[in-house]
Amino acid sequence: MKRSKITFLLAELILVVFAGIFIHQIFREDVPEKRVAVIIQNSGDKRWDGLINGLKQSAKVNSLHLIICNTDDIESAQDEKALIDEQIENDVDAFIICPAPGKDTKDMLSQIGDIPFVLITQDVYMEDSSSPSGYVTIKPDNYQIGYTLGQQLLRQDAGGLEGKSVGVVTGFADTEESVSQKNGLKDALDGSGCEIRWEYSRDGEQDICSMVNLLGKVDYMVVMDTYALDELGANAVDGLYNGAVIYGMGTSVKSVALLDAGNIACLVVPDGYGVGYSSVKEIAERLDSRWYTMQSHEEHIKTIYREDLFSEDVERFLYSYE
Amino acid sequence: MKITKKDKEKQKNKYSVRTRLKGWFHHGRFIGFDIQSIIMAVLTTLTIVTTVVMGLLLYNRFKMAINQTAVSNAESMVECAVDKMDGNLADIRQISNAVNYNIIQEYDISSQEFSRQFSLLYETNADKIHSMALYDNSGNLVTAEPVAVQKDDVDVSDQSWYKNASEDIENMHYSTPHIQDLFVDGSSKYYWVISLSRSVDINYGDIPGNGVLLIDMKYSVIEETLQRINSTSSDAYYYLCNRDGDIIYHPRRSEIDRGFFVENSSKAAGYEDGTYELSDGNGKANVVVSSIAYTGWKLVGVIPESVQTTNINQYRYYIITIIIILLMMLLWVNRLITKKISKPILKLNESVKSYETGGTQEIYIGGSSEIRHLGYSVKKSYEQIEVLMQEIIRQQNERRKSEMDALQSQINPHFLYNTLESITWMVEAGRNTDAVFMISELAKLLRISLSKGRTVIKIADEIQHSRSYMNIQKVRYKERFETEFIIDEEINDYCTVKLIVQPILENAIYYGVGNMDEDDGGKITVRGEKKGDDIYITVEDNGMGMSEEVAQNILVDNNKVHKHGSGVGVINVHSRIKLMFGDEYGLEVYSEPDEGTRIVIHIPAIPYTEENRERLENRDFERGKVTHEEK
Repeated sequence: MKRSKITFLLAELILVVFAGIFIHQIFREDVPEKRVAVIIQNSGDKRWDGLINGLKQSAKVNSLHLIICNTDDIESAQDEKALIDEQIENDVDAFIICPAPGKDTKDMLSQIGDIPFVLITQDVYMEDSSSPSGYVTIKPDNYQIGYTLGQQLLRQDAGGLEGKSVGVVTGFADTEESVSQKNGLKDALDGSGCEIRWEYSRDGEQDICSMVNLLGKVDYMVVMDTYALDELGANAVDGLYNGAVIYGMGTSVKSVALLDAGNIACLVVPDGYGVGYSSVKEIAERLDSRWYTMQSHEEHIKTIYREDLFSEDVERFLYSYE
Repeated sequence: MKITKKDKEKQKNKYSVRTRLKGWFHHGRFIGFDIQSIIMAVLTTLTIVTTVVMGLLLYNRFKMAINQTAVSNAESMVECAVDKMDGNLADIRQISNAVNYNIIQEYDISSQEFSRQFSLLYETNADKIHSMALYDNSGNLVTAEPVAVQKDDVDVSDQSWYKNASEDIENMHYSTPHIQDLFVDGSSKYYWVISLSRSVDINYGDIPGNGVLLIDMKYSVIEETLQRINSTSSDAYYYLCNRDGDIIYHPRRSEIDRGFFVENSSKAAGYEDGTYELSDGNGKANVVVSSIAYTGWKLVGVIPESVQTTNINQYRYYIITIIIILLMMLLWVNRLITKKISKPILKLNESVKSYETGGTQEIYIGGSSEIRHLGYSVKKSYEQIEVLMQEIIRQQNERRKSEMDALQSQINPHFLYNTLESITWMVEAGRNTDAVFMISELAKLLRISLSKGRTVIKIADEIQHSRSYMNIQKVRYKERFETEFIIDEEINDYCTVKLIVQPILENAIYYGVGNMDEDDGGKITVRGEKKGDDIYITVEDNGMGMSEEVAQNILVDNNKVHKHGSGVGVINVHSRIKLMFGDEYGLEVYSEPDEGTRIVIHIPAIPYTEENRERLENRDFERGKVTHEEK
């Protein structure tokens, strides 16, 4: 074959390849959005409003299809595994997971395989609370939440906490969130002279008000679980519950309303919107490029008192909870 | 060695693109490409340039069109939204006016009718407003709808809406969106409102006073309008800000509050109504700004370039794909055109090359009229060259024939004079028989010498010529040497150039046996034989011979050795054989001093026919062919 003919055929071949690539690009634009499943317990609960708003907005910005799984309480790794398996069968591309309580969760998550996932609100529970799981986690600084509440207790009581008693309510016991928060609180109160008279961890559908009533009278009650705070706060009479002043961590508008009503003395609010937004952003970057290494974040927290509830700063914060 | 600046410059220039290109042209590297490649390269370059430029222009035009459409759509959207919001805000102002002029100024605020009218107006507009409240000039709540308990710790006189209304009593004042925080609400909900406040004159019994009327418009009224236009537009987004750039509504407000997204609202708020190009941290964008009446608010439509780019990308791929397909087609067409143009030229070139290398004699005639004309011209030129060549050959042959004839005619006149003198002596001495023999031999010799002007004769005639010559010489030399002819009969009828043996015999006599005594036994032997396709005639004498130097130079036309004889010497013979039969034929000389000399005549064996004779005499260039065919 003549050289000129070979050159011509080669040029035509190259052009065909280029045409193929660009035609592929044209049709690639019609590829459906990637799907990300969100697994959080009681997904319909008001306490997740900020988080879900953040997830949705970030999904919209990053062109992802969000599947928020309809769940009740997730009390164990097995419950969560069933939900994850169900979504794997639905061919989701990634997961955003609030890890279930218990030490089995780490092993369960390792079985997800190649599907990328991000943990939100808390890390996986480890028996050695000082070492992180190594999974990508986007959450508030749970230790700092406990520590901040402790500091606020110290700050608010002009007479000091010497001889005062404190009751601590947390969420599920075997969670990184509860452990870190308790550690933070204890570290903050260490040396203050107060006594942590009892600790209670919420467990499923128990009537938390009755349970706390049984635990005895304390001067201060630190509630580091939104569900418990909303329940206890709503049942407090004249701002007091069993005579205790409530300090708490909450992520719902109801918690804010309880603060506004004086049922809660101080509220620490983690930025749920930020957690949701950042988690989807990380997943989106990972789905865009398989070489991208996702990074863990800790979103900031806000401490709110009744008197600065309607400041511009807090109003902005609350806007995302609507 | 010192390198001057000039040398450096020269060295630099050596590697410049311009110099290299010049070198390419000067060294004729482009000449190495055939016409087809050059035409194809030129057409392809033009095609690519044209297609790419066309694609870019098309792309640019489409980009501008998309941009204009997006801006135009945004302008329409903004206009509609502004109309809608103007209407909503005007409604609220009307409500405020109605409360002020029809209720507050008409009724005693302590009267039941006042409360009834106040409540009635709220009920009528409950879809737009969240609450209405009237405060006295001390900041105490006079009345509110819906009826609610004011929060304990609320002091409205510290709030901006109250202060604005108190300080600027002539105007109505709109606040930015905020949470309604005046009244106790057991629902654990917070409501976002935009407050419209104004100073009002109130009548408490017969005592006139001042107060502030607060109408809390539902933020959702504004929010829904803007959410709707944002949800219907994929190219642009719309937000609302006040004259200071404070965000009233933004689809990404939560992101802005957290620093996830940056909006340059303060810059946009500074613009008059119109469309602008804005460049900020998010990149370039077109912004459409429109003011909302009475409030100083600005509705801003933003068309980010990145969004437009996403839309254009799809079209960009289409354009590139079309360009590639167009290029493929044009390349194919170019190739066809190139072949159509260059094929006749290449064929013509090939036929000329073939002609030049002695292949086919046909010159290609075809293609367009110009190429045909060129073909005809080349063909005609070659034909003319052919004729001229034939003429040159003919002339050369003529010249050679003349040379040959001149060489053959160089018979030594001394020989003829001496012979005739010998005959005279014989006649005077009464040796009539010998004289007759001499005359007879001389007659044979002259007859063959003439041979009717022919150059090529039979070997038999040449041998006869030699015999006659030797017979005459023997008489002259008084039989002082012997002569012997040993000739194979079979060679008699082959061709030879005439008068090639006689000059050698003459030399053999003069330098060999001529000066020997009778007792010395001088002898000249002539042998003729055929070996293979060649004939060898050997003249051998046992005379004094010659040195090696003389033997080597005897066939060379120079003056290194002295040449004697009739003048038709061995060089003459050697040259004539070569001229007639070719360089592989001629004489070979073997001699040793005091031993004798042997000269071998080497000629091809060409049978003597009239046709062969004519061909040889005409110096046909295909001599070899003649020879072998005849053989």
